[in-house]
Amino acid sequence: MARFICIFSLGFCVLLSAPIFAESATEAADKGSVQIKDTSAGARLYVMHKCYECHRAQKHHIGPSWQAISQRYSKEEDKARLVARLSVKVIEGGYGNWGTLPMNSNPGVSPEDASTLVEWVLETN
Amino acid sequence: MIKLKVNVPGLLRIAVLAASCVGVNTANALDISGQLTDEQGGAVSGAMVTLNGENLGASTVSVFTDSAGRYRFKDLPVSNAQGLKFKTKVIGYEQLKVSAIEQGADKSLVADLFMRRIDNVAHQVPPSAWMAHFPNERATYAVMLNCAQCHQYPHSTVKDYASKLADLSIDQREQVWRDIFRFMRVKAVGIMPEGLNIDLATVPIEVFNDDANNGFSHGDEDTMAPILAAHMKTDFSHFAAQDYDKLRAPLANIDTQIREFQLPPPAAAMFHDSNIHRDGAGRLSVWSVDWINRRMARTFPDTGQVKIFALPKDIIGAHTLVPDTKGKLWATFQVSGQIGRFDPATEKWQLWNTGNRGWTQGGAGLVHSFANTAKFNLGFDGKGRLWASLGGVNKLVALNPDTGSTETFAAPPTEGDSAFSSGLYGGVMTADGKHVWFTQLQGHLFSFNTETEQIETVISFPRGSGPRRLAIDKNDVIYMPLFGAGELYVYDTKAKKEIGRFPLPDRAAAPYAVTWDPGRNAVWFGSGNSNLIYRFDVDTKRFMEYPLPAGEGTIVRAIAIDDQTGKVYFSYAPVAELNGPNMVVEITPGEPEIIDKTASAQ
Repeated sequence: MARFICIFSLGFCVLLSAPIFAESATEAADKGSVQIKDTSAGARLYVMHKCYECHRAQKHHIGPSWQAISQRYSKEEDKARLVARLSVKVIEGGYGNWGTLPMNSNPGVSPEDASTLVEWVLETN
Repeated sequence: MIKLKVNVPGLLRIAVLAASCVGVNTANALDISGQLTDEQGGAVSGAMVTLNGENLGASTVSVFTDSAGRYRFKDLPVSNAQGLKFKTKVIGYEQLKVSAIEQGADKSLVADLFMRRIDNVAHQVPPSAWMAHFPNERATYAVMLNCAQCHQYPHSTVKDYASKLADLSIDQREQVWRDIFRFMRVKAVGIMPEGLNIDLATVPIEVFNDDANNGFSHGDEDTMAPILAAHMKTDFSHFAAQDYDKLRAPLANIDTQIREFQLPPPAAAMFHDSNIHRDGAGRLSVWSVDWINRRMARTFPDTGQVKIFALPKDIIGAHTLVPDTKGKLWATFQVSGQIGRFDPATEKWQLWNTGNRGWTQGGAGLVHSFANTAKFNLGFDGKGRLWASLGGVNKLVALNPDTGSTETFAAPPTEGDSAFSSGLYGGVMTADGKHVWFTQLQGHLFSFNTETEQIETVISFPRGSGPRRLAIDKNDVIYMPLFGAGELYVYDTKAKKEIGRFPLPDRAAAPYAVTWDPGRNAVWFGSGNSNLIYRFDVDTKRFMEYPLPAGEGTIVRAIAIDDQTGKVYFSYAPVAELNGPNMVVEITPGEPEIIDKTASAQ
């Protein structure tokens, strides 16, 4: 188990014990975190834009898992339109589609990156 | 005389002046003065007037208007006004314009500024203003302590989020706030100092949510969610100017001057502590350590020059910086657990491990603060030991630098906390070196006898109050900020008696670190949440405030006073997202007439 501590003066939590942490990386994948072997553009953007803070692969975290998102929209036929719609959600945030929890806006994500991310998420099952 | 009509809200430019015509003053000592008035011709007092431009010897120079609305810049190190830009800041006014720039009889420049009173100051007030209506109780303190130590609260993203909750019931809002706490448990980990590399995307979410592995407390969250659901606004579009006036202390005066020095990139930086040092020739410089990047800045306020120095490669997270009485500077390296001594003459470091150095070994000292003396020097006890807090393990460490030996002593536990969530924090040493006093964020001020090596006095505060970095005066009276509760606590350690608890005018200002000012018998402390620093005069028990020219989004750290000039030095920096300014600040407080525009409101 990775150990976790908080630098209280800053409120920052930092992981301790790198060797222990390394062991838990494989467990992490099983528990619904990013597939660390995925080297695609989508995975890279997922890490870069810190999507993992709210969304994981299979498990509901703060927001829905990619799997849940992918499943919900699997029957939509117009994929291009779907990607465009969800890309706007990524950037502007959203509210009401997954319960009462709002999604924060992400103004730092470009429209191109948002599309790549959405396509990557929709490909996940 | 040149007439100039510019109408730029909030920003007033005299750069357009044909400077060759006016303002030529000999010996590069330009004076600029003028008056701020509103549409009815009334004086605008307590306004900050900031100049920026090349060759000012600082990034910005700011002064304040007096009760007649007059301001004056004296001896600016420029020969004319070419390239200088005016910016004014005063909550409750906007729409500035320069009506005329004239050359006065003494060759100084005169620039009058016209302003318009506004009633809605929602876009001007600091985050603290949005917390002012929260009840004065522990749940509010917990919100301030847990949230405002990493970002001003409510941060713009919090407001963005809260504004989406308008249509929800209180119960639903409470659930949503709990979700945001879970989000912050992840988010808070994202800012790491150089040398610490963790791929957060691969950390199982259970790790974040388990209190055993995290500094957040589900118990605190149980009190925070209901109070946020009940009191956090969902509409931030209006804030009445007169309501903000109630949160203000009397302001800096016409002789106050604030000079800011921008610290250099990388932009993702967090200069934490700054402190002052005079070299062999008596020249003052301000040293600052960057918690994120392994570097230190040396700023020369006399010229504005800033030099960057690399910190040793095996340190992580430079935090505290305190001088000794022998011309050396001492630092704590929080994450890597060392204490370091720096010789500015040789630019060499000597490092000592606190015995809790190995974050790779699974142990975390998190060496935080030293026990400082009244004059804000590093304290040494009768055995030649310095004392510091190990925040990760709730222990004090005593280091004898001559022998290199370290000893650790347990601090009192705080109820319901793990060792590190007790939050062992700031320290001071009594004049005789026989006692050190330390704080714990979760509610204690306690003394430790350095001779008997026993805990003696423990004073408790309501959870969330947030005792932080404290100061001690020459009579061993302690001045301690309560970050969560928004109070200054004063305690006589000799009489073992509380002298008083003084609520800040703005209780959500998030006071961080107090420094005693022997020349004025005052204490100074910065705000984490309202973009200003406070001065508290011990004799009159009055607060005064000094706004920061570019302080939005930042936290002010430890404050140093130069006993030769009485000038005040500190730095401020952002924490969350690291996207605010990193500044070293010099304040010449100025002592005459105090503008008390809020006297009637108080």
